[in-house]
Amino acid sequence: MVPFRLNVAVMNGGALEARSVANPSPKRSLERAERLPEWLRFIAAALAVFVATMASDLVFGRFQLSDVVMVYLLVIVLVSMQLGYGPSIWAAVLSVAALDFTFVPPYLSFRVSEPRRVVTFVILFMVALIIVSLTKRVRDQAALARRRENRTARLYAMSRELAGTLGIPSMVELAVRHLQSAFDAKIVLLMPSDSSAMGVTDGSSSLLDQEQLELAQWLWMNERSTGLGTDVFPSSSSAFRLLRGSRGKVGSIVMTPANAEAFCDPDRQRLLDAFCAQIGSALDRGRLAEAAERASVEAETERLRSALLSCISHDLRTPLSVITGATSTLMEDSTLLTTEARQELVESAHEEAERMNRLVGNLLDMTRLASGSLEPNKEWHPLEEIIGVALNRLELGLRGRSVEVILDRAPLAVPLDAILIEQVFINLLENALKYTPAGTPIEICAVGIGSIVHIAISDRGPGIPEARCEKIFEKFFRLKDEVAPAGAGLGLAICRGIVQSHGGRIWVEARGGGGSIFRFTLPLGENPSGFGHEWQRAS
Amino acid sequence: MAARELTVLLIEDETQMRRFLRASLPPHGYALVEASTGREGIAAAGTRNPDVILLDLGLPDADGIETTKQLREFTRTPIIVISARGREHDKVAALDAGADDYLTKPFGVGELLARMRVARRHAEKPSDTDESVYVAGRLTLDFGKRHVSLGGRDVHLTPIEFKLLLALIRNAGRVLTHQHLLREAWGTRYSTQTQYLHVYMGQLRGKLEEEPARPKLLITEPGVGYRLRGD
Repeated sequence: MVPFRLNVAVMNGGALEARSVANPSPKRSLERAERLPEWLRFIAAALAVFVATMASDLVFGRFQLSDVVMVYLLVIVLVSMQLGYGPSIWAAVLSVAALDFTFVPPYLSFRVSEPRRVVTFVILFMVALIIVSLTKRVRDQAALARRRENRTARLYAMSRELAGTLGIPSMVELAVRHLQSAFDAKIVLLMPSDSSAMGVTDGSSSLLDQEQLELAQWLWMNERSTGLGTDVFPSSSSAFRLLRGSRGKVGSIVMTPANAEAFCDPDRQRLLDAFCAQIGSALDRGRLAEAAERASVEAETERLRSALLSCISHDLRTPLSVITGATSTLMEDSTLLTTEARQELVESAHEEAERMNRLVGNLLDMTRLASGSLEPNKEWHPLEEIIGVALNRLELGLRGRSVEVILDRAPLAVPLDAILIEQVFINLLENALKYTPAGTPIEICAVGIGSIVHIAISDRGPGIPEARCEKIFEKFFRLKDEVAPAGAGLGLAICRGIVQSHGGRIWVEARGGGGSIFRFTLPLGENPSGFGHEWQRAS
Repeated sequence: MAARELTVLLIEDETQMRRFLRASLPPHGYALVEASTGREGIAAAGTRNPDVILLDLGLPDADGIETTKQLREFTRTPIIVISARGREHDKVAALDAGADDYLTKPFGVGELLARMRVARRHAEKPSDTDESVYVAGRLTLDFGKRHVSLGGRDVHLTPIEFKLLLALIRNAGRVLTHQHLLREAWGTRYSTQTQYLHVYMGQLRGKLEEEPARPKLLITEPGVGYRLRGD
């Protein structure tokens, strides 16, 4: 059993609504006059001959036979160009008759007094026939050229659209649409699924009948064009063609045309081959793009996994070794230790434990962010309150530093998730504490501009090189020449995840005079109803 | 005269946590009673009559909120719940179910002692007397005269602000959930509109704090509520 996944598109021949496969579309001819019903054309031809006769009689009289013959020839040429093969033969016959009747003695009778006049008639008739058949050939070739051009134009239109399409489902839909309009047929496009364990899906039983399914299988196994228009199962009502890519077959089509005879025309078959080649190569391209995408996602996942492992092994082991070391020393003969030394060990164990706690918190946040389960629980908060909480949490670390908080108004109410944005402030402030010299000032500014609030945290540290300004927000990234404050490089990635999930942006700029400015925005949305009203009433 | 030794009931399944508290609490005058399951804890609360109950919300055999409710059915002993970071819902639910305060793991013993002190202080006061004057550090609130002063200086508050401050100062040192404060200041009608609460607390900070952006008195407990730092 060949594995098939029945693909998206099946379209019925002709207009999607009105027509069924049984009614073929009328062959569209490009000659306007040929759309006139047959009998009318014959009448028109007769009329032309009649008019010519009358005109010639008036103009030339009855004695310039050669001129009159010219007129009749002209009429025959015109009729053959405009009215088609049948009527032009009819016109030729009528012309000879009219000539005999009107211009050859005895007048107004079909008898001929001079026998050599018969030769004239025969020659006229033969010339007429030659003209008619030549004209027919020219017209036929012109029609053929137009049809070919039309088909080439369709092929080109499809190729152009395919070239600009990404994604296999869109390509399939496009291909089927073009095939349906170019060939006036019902199309089913089949593509193999990835897992070879799958057989033809149940859905296919509604799109293809048993015979078609079997022939499709045959096609796939033997890789030879099958069905209508070939020498393999030519009596089938459908054509089965393979779609090939650069590395072999990528799919197949089952085409059931409305007009089987017209379909078997060699020109159409060549066109079908051209379509199949285009579609095959486009699907091939789509497959390759999907594979490339998967590979890059896998590579990224692998990178993160190994970064996570190295982070855990290093950044958790280091504090753990300090704690284990310090506490084991404390457990051993404590009479050898001075009070200061003991205090020193205990404090360092405590510090390392807090560092580990922060790291674990970051890892948890990162996991929640990565799994997409970080939905901000937005409520309106005054921004100064969130900043206050963050400053409170870092109170110890901020000793000896001047922290200035500048807001453009109070309260600056912003819709946000308090706990998440608090984490953003904490991470940014902790970075400032870690990477800037002790005692240098930190400024926090927040301004509401239009529909967003713009927050900036500025320091007077060494700054960040321009080339790194984007990379520092990546997971596990750390500036290479740092002096070892541990933290796994997750803080800024978490900030970015949180800010983005609020609909904002975060970035860093160099500060004039030295240092960095970390900026982020949060959307303000609409004021909650009644907010301003309560405010007025209370103050 | 030696002060009466206070009994702490610890309902905690983690062995190491119990070990840590066993070592840390007695030096401060607390005798520890341990229970490692919810059921044991409720039984011990009835028989040992502790002065403070420490309840871990992450017990494997019992739902912390349920346990709090059950305890509150028969005892007024202050309950402090212990929970992990990121579980603010649990803490709020426990507080609304009758717990007095909470601690987030990992915590230091200093924090724990401070909370226990505050919780006991409020429990010892008879609950229904409306005192007329409340004092917390430099802050004085005269309920009878509807008057507030900070370090001797008069402060003018709007009616809502006054109600909020009153609730906080009557529970000085203890956390009050958003719900509790909304009900105190606005009544039940507005119990879902926490943004009003945030704005009014911002106004209070503006009037009472030296540096409103770094409050020392009116502390925000994110995701849970607010606390007036009493000591």
